Amino acid sequence: MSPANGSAGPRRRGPAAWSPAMKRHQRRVWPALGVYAAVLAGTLWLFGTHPPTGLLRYAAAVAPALPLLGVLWINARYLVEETDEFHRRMLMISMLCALAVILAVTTVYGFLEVLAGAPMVPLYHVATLYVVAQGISTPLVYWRYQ
Amino acid sequence: MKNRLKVLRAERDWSQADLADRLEVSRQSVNAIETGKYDPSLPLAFKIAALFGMPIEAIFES
Repeated sequence: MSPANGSAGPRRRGPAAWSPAMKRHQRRVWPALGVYAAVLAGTLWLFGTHPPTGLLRYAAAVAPALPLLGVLWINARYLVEETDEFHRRMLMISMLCALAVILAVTTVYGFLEVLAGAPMVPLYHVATLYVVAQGISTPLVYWRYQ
Repeated sequence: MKNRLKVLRAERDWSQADLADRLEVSRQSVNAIETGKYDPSLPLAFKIAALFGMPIEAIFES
């Protein structure tokens, strides 16, 4: 069947279909997550075995957050560097979905913590929740626009 | 927004990938525009119109 008869032609999926900006994003984000895992493990080990004191305690406590902030910067870079407007739109919608999920979950759970005595959850889980929410929303958004 | 992109593409025996290459966008963009699920920006609509040598309103209609 000829493509002229309405078929889409050969479809590239997965990494072969990625834009140059997407490939750059992947090359940046996975190492950043690897650094996060390594720094987190190191920090937990440090606080478990040789708890730092003074200013070092604050610096060490903040260390695992830095790679996660890097992931946010990497996402922002992708938004700037992606020249394909459709992919840019998909990213913006998936980011908004993830932010909406975070706002909803943290708001509801915040009331549960304060008023219903639900267990206190550390705030740093918000970043993880954002990454997970965006990871789920991105394929759903693309599926919606197929 | 409805459009005649699929028909115009078929008349030229182009696949979605061919059209995407000519427009310098992704194949997913072409697919989403053809199915009416995504409305292109004005610059991209002008680019599409220029590629087919037609006015925008001859390709897209609300």
